[in-house]
Amino acid sequence: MAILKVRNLKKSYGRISAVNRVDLDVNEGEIVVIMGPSGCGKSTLIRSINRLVEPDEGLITFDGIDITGLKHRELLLIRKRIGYVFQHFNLIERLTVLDNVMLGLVFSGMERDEAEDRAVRVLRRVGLESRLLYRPSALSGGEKQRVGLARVMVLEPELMLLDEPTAALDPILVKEVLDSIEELVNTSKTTMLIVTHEVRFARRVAHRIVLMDKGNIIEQGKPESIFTSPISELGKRYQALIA
Amino acid sequence: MFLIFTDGFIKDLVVLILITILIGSALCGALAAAADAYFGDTVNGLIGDVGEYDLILHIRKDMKDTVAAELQKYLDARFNGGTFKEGPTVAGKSNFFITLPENAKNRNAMENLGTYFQDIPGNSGYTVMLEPRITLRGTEGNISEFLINEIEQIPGVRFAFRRGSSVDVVLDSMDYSGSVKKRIKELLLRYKVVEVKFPLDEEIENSAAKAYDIKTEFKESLDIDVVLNINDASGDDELQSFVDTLSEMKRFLSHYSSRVYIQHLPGYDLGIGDRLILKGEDADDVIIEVTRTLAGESEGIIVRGDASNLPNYGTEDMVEANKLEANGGPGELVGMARVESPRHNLSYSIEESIKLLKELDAMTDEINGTVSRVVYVMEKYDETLAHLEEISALLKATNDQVVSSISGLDHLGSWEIKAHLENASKSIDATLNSIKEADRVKEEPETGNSSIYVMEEKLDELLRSNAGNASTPYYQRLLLLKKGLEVFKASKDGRISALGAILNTLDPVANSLMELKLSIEGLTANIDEMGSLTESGLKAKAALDNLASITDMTLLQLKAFDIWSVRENIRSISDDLQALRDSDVEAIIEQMEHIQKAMPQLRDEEITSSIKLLERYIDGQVISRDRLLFLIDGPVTKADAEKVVKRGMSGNERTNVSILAPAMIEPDVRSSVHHILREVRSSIAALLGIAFTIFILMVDHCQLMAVMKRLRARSRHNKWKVWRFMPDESFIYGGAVGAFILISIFFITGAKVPLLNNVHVILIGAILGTIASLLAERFSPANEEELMAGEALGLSYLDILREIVIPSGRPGLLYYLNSKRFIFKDKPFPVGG
Repeated sequence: MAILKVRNLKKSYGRISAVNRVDLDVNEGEIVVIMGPSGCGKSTLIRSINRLVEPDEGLITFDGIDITGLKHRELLLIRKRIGYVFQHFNLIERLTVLDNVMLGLVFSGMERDEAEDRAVRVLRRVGLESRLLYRPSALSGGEKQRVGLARVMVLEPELMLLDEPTAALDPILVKEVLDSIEELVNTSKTTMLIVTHEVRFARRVAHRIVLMDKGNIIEQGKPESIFTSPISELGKRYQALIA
Repeated sequence: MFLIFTDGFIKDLVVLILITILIGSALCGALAAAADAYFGDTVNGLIGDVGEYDLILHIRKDMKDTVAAELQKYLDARFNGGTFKEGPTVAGKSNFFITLPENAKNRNAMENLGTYFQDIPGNSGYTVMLEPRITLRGTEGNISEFLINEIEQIPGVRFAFRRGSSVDVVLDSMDYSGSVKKRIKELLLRYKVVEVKFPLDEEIENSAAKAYDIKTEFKESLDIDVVLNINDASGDDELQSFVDTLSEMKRFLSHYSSRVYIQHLPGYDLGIGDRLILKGEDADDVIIEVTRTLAGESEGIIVRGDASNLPNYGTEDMVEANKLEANGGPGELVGMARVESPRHNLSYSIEESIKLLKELDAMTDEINGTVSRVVYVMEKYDETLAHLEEISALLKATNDQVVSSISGLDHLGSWEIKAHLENASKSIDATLNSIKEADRVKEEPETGNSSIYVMEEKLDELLRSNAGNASTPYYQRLLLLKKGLEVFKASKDGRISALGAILNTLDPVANSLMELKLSIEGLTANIDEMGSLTESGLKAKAALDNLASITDMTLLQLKAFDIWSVRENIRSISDDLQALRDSDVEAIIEQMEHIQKAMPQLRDEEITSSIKLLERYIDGQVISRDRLLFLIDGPVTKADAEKVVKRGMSGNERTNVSILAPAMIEPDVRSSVHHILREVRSSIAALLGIAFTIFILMVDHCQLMAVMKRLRARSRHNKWKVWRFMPDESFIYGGAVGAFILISIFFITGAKVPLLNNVHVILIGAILGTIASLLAERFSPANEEELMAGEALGLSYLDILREIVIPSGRPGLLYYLNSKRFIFKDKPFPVGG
């Protein structure tokens, strides 16, 4: 059953069409990886899902709720159910690692102590228990992204949107982030929509791969079919990378 | 729009703005007040307390030391007791504050300060600081002099003096300031300046004469005195006075010259400028020039000869008027002429007036004589009374003697009785003479009337012939004399009539006395015969009894006579007469004789020639300005003034008439300085307010505007194209907040910038806010990543602003206020690897 439905979604930046009438369904517990060249509209698509970017047209439903038609206060409640991991971590610089992770919990109404316990647990899970009181500026890229991941995990969202979580990392640090995500995928049943260029990672974790180009979904399917018998030119190029 | 306010941040914003305005107003107001106090003290230090200094002498900076060394000597020489103090040097000028001695504070000294100081090296002028003082400015020309004369009459004014186009009024003390200012305002309301402007393309011809005509027109049409013809003050006072004098002289001569009135013969018409010849006596013909024509009639002036040459001079007779031929001889007869010579009339009037006035003396002498006689009668009255009492006593004594003789007790002394009777007869004679003398007054009831009648006739004639000069003192005096004469005549007639009535009562007395006298004379003639005879004695006694009875009756009649009222009446007549004599008769005679001597001894031809010469000169005079100014006494509407000017300008309608105040009251220096300081204070407050607004916009509001811009960039792409052209909400926010903060600070602190009103201030605030919005992301960039992280976590904008945006922003008022509200405080000892 699709927990997320995207219909006829369109988003432009001026005259440039970022997402062009896209339809997409994501089933509950499904790991969907969106791949495509830079600027093809992947990030715009997933940002539109929690309306970090306001779509111009189209319909998005989450758990049967029309997100595009929500009022501001209703949207805030939906956003708490949808976690978002940013490509550039988007940590709050003035807050410590622990505060960054606790932030969402505290403003969801949780007691501070309880929020702290949960945050510490999650941070331990991503291997950052020694960095609790660090400022983000004192962390490595991989650590920052793990804090970003922990900040979402701690909220236990029903849908996680990961926007190229390793794109801003040195190749050496990519693995630790991907390991954390893979561990999360393996240990939770959270529905995930992941935008990434990591073909092997995608092949390993994805239930379905969606290929996008120029704002359109040009091909989607299970990883085996995409990487073994792609239809589109883009799919073939990814196939070549695997081979 | 304005997403960031949807979650309750608006409350924070309202608090922020209110506190901003309060702090801003307090800060700006305090600084401006401090500046005001500082400048105020500085100014007081500079210009001293009220009355401390009287003058500021400005000296070129390079001459400061020289002047400082010599100024005291100079002051000692000019204003002994004067002192000075060096002031600050401003804009290349050094200032010396001078205190004058009291005796130097007068009009003469103040108006000659320029002359006094001209020898001081480096002199760059002076400023008068005399206090307490009221200054009038904007006085045109010699209005200053007029105003000074008027103002110096006001109680509390010490003196006034002219300074350029201003008049400074120095007061005795500050206490008079209000009352003097009030009186000056009344003066300025009473007098008005009428300004007559001419078009630039129109040269004013004969402006001096026109100014004179307008002045005359004001008096004649509106009965408004033109106090000053201000055109006099165009820089050539003497010339203008001269022109005025000539105009007046022309007017006088015009009234003085003979006028010839010609009745045309049928079929003849005359034109202006035609010359006629009138046959004069002794071959002195008179030539006239026609100056005005009417249907069948003409009027002319004598251009050769004199009216006295004409046979009908001084009469109403007509003489023949012939055309003047080219050869100077008479041509055809064109009409009959009558000459009217005001000069002759005036001369005649004056001569007759002098005669008349001299007759007044004769008349009073005549009346005086009558009064003296009456007074004499009154004196004789007492004498008569005494005589009658004496006669009565004598008759009684004689009668007693006769009785004793008859009884034989005594011998009848006839010689003694006779002596008594003769004495009585003499007294009666004297009394009768007195009564006869008094009766002469009765015979002169018209005493003085003929003289008075002649005087009245002549006065009437004089008044008629001088009717055109009714406003002259001479005419007024004649009028007074006539009235005085009428009153005197009525008084005299009444009193003389009353006197006559009283004197009539003496007639029976006189008759009784005459009868008495005859009886006494009869008795005296027979007294010797009846001396020793008893029978005769008895007859004599009876005669004496009769005499005594008549005498007593006469006495009673005389005593009943109201001598007191007669005396009072006489005294009144005498007093009235004296009053008439004491009137200005002699002064009038003197004035008349003076006029007689001063009358121009000119022939008509000379008068005409003079008038023409004067006209040529006056018409050549032009006031070298494009306007005429008059100071008038009394209110006048613009419409009335325009009518008067139009008439004075012979119908010229291209003039522009304005009614102006003769001057304006100017605030004194100290008030002006303090007024300027107040303006400086409000300007400082304004500048501080603007600076504060800019600061607040940059430090606090740029963050918010930057967030707005970020959110707008990610907002839904509106299908309406017009949306693209809608202003960024941050501009609206910036403009509104900037305008509101600035106008509020201006309002609270009383800040003001010269030439700017509230709308301007609001606009300035809005412009500042808009500029701040434009610079917002450069000055206080919003961290898009953090902002988006907050949004993604489902935080409200209130929480995002409080926890993420504001704590990361610049420390300002918003930062400070927010620090009390956010949950995740900064850790005191942040750690890092």
